[in-house]
Amino acid sequence: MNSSLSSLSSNPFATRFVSPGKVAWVGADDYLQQLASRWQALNFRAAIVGVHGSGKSTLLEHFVPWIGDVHWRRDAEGKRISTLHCNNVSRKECWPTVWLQLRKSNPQSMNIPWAELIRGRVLILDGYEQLAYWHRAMLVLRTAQRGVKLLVTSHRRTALATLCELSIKACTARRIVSHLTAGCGDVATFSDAEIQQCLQAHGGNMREILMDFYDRVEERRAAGTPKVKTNS
Amino acid sequence: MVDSLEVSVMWYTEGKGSEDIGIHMFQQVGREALTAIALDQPRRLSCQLPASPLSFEGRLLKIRWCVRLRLFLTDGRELTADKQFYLGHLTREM
Amino acid sequence: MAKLFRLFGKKRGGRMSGWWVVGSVSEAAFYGLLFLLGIVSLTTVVTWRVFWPASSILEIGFGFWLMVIASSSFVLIGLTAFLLQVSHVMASPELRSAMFDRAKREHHRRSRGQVDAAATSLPDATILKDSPGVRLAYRLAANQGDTATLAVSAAFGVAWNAMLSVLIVICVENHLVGNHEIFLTVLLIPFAAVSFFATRWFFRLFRRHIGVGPTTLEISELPLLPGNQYALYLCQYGRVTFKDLKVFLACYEETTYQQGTDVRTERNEMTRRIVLGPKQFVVEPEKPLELDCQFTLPLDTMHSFQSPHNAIVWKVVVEGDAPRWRTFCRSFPIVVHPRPVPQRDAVNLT
Repeated sequence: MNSSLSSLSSNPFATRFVSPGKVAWVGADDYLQQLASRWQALNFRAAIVGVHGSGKSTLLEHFVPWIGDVHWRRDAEGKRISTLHCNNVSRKECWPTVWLQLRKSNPQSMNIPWAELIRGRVLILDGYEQLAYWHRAMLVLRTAQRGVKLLVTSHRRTALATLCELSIKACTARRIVSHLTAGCGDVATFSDAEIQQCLQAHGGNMREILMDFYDRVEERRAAGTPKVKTNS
Repeated sequence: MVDSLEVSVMWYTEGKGSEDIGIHMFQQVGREALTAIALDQPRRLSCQLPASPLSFEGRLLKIRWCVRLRLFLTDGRELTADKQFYLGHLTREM
Repeated sequence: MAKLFRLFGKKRGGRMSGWWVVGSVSEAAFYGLLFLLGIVSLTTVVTWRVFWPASSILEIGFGFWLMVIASSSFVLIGLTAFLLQVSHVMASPELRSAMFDRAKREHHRRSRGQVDAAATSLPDATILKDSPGVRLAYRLAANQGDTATLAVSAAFGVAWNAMLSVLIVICVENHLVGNHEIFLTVLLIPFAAVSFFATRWFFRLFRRHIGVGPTTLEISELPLLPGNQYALYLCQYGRVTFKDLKVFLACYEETTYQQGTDVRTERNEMTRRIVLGPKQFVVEPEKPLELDCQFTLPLDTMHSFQSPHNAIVWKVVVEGDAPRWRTFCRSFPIVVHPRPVPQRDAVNLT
């Protein structure tokens, strides 16, 4: 065992840094406040719309703390996520939220915990398009009957009012990349032209862009750092 | 103020895929036990490390070992600190 | 000349004789035809009664029910045997046996309430040790690879041909009673074309899967440990000339990640260590290719690793170019464990 190797270099585009909850907010400071007001104006029932990798889940990670505390959360693998996290956002209202990430291939993730959905709570569905048409219609009706607020993300426009339509612009991509690679040295430095080219190649899918940059960093490291064996 | 703390010796994966962790040793120190400990003094932690998984630096996957200290503060916040170490005999030059 | 008529391969001790490629394809074709015959006769009998109840042909009685039972049994036997034949190609007896044993052990373990509390990150080698070898200690189970396409082609072929058979029967019956359904008759042409291409697609895949003949690989010890020497025994059946057959050890890192609502798996080959070849070999049905080789696992070898989303996988890969069968590649998973460490006092982390 060698305890002196304390700074094993990480790839700045590894999942632990680029998953939706980890990417820093690069939008305008008052955007979340405006979004909360708009959601209220839409009677607390709206959809965030955007293509794959446009930042819907990331927006949720930053927006949900604005609207309430996470009371109950489940990921796409059907596992409960502990919600000990305490946010210190100052806000006017605070509603308990039930936050579900849906994945059609995992039936466990598709169950709606109706027992948790009582009047005044917020149901957040990440991946609304995963539900069948009739299931969506039933869900909208049932949440309205129960007085449950609704916020969903979808790849396409839905019957619900659209809260915002997301797309990744070159300046946003640049800000995310520069934020992730700050202090990582030349191996993780990408020019604006490279980011622009990558954005075009992946059709504005930020997730694909970050995966692409992960591979590029690994390639640069492999080219520049010979592998050696050190016995300890 | 520290309400309680946890110390783990663990491995975790890092890379392109979803992260996995494995806990090798776990110690919890509660509020009462903490009062008898001087937190400003260094403390020694001992454990027998396993033969696997060895620390590993791949392209898609890295296996890292660390000692993780998680502090639960009285105001409800959590603080986490990791100290990485290298287990095994395979590495890149660092 | 007699060999030409011997469609079915015969197993003689440890080796096979005859044209098992033709044999297997013929068996699959035979059972497929039996299934279609059952569909045709069952449809004929049932539709005749439904559409022309006044007809004196195939009146409900002993003969009618005998026809229904016989046709149904043709459908059942044909379909079951056909699917069995395909499944034999998709998973070797060792793999099926290992999967069955693993399921059995898992069931016992769960029934005793032994849930993975301290799951190890090392893959279990006992599954690989289930099958003893003839020459060496263990016979490795092969990963057959692209079997999903074969399964899809088989399912599609069966379903499409069954539907086409029903339509043909209805069409012929209509023509026989003077009701010339032009639309249905014309519709049968593109349907028959799809059927032809679907069947051809299936048999091409099936032939490719079984064409080169089975590969047997045995190893002297499991799990493997870095720094140790191991023996491999390779036996290749069939009638094939390999331009450059090689055996190598390969290590892959595999990772699974969520892409929004999709789950993706990526694989990267990290290490490749040639054990044998590349060399030219000729394999004859009467004389299978038998090769013995040895290799040493280097000391700096990373061990196998398995966690819910990530894995490091070791395989012995047999690969070659066989002109008639295109690229041939079969892989056999193995497990590498780390060198055992001597028990010492606890390590202090300050």
